[in-house]
Amino acid sequence: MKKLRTGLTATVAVLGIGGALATVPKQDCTTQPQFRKLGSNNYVSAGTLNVNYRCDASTTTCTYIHTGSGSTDADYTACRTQATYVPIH
Amino acid sequence: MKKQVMSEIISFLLILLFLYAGVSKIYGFPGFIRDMHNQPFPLWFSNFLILFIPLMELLLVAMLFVHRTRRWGLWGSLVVMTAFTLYTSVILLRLFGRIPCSCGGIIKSLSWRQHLLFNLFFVGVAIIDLYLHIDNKKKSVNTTTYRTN
Repeated sequence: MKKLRTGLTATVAVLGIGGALATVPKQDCTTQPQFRKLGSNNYVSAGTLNVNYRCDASTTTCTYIHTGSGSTDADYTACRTQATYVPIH
Repeated sequence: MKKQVMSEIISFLLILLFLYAGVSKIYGFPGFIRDMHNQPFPLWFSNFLILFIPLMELLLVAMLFVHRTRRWGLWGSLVVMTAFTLYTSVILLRLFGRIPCSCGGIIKSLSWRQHLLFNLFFVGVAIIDLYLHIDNKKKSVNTTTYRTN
């Protein structure tokens, strides 16, 4: 029983802590300025989450971050996915 | 003995769940704050949950790990998993009027429907472990009584 407990403790510590550290993105995109897509190839600032907008679950992308130097689709990367941008008035 | 081993393994499954969930929330704290603010709660309640949920998860890990407090840890796990399941059901029933996104992470990358099944599985796990734990305790009390007689 003691051997089982030691084995389980080691497994759980490695999987639990290691798994958590490995799966949390090192650079969290949500800490960067968020943009929303307006029209076919135009991006504008999304504002502050829960103040100016919210993200409702869907199959589209709610917000993007600016990862390139230009302003085309290729310069923006999806951040909050599986969601729709809904402005708060 | 078999039941004791099963109970031990199931308890560690719950420990793994809460350890992973608690550490990932603390490690990715800024993202967790934003995700909580996207939930359909008043801001004061979201702010309360931001601190309460990870601390409670780590407290449950400690309670489940220590034998003397395991029973309370199992009751706590059952209450917490039931609360999460009810919240998921309320979201899916659209009682809040909208379905917030659950963006990022391994558990968080599940859809709300998958999340419901995941939570239900762990509610079942907690119930089974609680039953096994109480059963084992009863047997060990009976054995002790028998021995003293």
